[in-house]
Amino acid sequence: MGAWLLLILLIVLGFACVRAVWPAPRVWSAADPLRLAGAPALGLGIGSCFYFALRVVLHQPPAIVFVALALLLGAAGGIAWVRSSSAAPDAPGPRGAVPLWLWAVLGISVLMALLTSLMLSGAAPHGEWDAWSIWNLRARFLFRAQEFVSPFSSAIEWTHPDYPLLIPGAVALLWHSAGAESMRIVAAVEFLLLSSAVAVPFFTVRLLRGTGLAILCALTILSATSLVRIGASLYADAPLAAFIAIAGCLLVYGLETESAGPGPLFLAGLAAGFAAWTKNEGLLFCLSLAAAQLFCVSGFGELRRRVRTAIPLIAGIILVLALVLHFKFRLAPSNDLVNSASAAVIRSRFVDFNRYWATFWAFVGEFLTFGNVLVPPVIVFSVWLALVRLRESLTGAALLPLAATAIQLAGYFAVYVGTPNDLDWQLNTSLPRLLLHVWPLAVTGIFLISRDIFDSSPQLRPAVARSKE
Amino acid sequence: MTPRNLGATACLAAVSLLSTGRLFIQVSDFYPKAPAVDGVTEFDGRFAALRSLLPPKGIIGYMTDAETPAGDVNAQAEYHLTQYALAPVLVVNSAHHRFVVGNFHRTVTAGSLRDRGYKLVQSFGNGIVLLENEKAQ
Repeated sequence: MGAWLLLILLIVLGFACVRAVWPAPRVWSAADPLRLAGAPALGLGIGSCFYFALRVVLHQPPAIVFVALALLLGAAGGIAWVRSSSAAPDAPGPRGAVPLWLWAVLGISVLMALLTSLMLSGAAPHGEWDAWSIWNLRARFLFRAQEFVSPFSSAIEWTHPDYPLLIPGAVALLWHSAGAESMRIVAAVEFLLLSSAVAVPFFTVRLLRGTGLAILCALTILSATSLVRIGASLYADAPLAAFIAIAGCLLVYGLETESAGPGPLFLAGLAAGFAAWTKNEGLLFCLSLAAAQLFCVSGFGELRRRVRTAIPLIAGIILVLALVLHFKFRLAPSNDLVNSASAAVIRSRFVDFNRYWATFWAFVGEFLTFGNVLVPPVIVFSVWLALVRLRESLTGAALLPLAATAIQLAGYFAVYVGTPNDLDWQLNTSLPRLLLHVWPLAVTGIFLISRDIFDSSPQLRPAVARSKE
Repeated sequence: MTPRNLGATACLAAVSLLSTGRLFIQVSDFYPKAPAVDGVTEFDGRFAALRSLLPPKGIIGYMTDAETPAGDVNAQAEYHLTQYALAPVLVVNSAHHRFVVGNFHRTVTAGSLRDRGYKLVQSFGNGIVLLENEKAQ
């Protein structure tokens, strides 16, 4: 009971923090569904960071972590309340006629994904191999241990003690509140994060492009059923996909809706930082997102604006990254991908053309069979864009999700080329999951650049309007 | 909406519905046949008594049947699951520690273990034993 109550409080904490940073009037506001969709992920991220800082680093009892989170909730709620009195209302999204059958298809797809997830969790409550050999194991170490050296010991190097702790920390925190280990609460954490991976892109596209495209965006994300399966397997890849999607979506929203202020940009940075606190690939995403934010500019004026808006984004990233770096340099042993070879050996891998060739064909193969989608997504998107065409007023911000995705994939490609492990084994065991990390963000990018086909009455957002003048 | 746009929308909706539907049907078919207690929970339960005996920290060795081929995936999974069950004690896949947890599928006698230099501390049933390595003392 305690764990469920704390989980609800973490969602409220996430929402209060979002409202404190990105204020809106006291009554329900147009962007509140987006705020609420990101709240579980952000609340869990904040809870995990507090748990790590107070319990693992400062060796405080769990009760102190609960008190600190309660104080933060009070402070965030107070700030949100005060700021709401002077906050401008959110810009409403475009309105358009959406056929009822499309809502029905979304409802059926969501219901099937939900039931599938429940059945998979019920059949394997401890998850699949990586879940119990890495993530749940680390949560057990944190929950059961009276010291915090053993969990990161190189004596159990196969558990990847250098992997970051967002999921194990959040789970251990919830177990402490229940006083016992419950796999149902682990499944609930995964389910909430998986839901954010669909809901945040849905509400972002709904606010920026209209309901019709938002429904198609959510349907397309759900069509990669591997995401549901991996999420129910309690792997950290679905949570990482959620944080990547939240970061990218809030950044685009913040850039396209300048009236929202720096709040969404800071929250985007925070979500990117949480991605780095979820899996090592998230560190690369922090760079990908920051690079995409600067590269996707459509003129010198836009570049100056981007440099200015980069400040809250980078502040959000650094806030969490400081914790990640403390973990990496003070507690965790070095990563198996970087510590097992000299510079000369690594260099020799990067000049081996065969490694590029093998990695390239593995990527091509995975693109064609990706995610267990009935038809390869490459074909689906090609047909979609050929039929509906691109938007006429494409700003740099709209291209940002696809740019961040491309940079992230280029980074993954380079990591594969330089991996010290057997390349074929590494590609076979990880590539399908790695591509899932960017799937929700990439899909969001496709629908942000697609022409509106639902006759939405466009309400030009300030940034877009200015660029057109 | 033009027929062209309607077609594009219907195609996307159909691909999504059929993809999620396919996994749903596969899992619905498999779920009723899944065992009531999953393998990890069952394995975990076998180690409950041993875990209650172990201190809150330390390192313990691990051994399994001598005939197990190197690189056997099932054996590797069982070793990982043993660590999962016995955390926060570190379980190292080596018999050269003072205390060693044995996870055997074939019958082993106290005498045969004694011949190899291990004293049986306690047997927990289902092939799970706690051994003391007399050479490591």
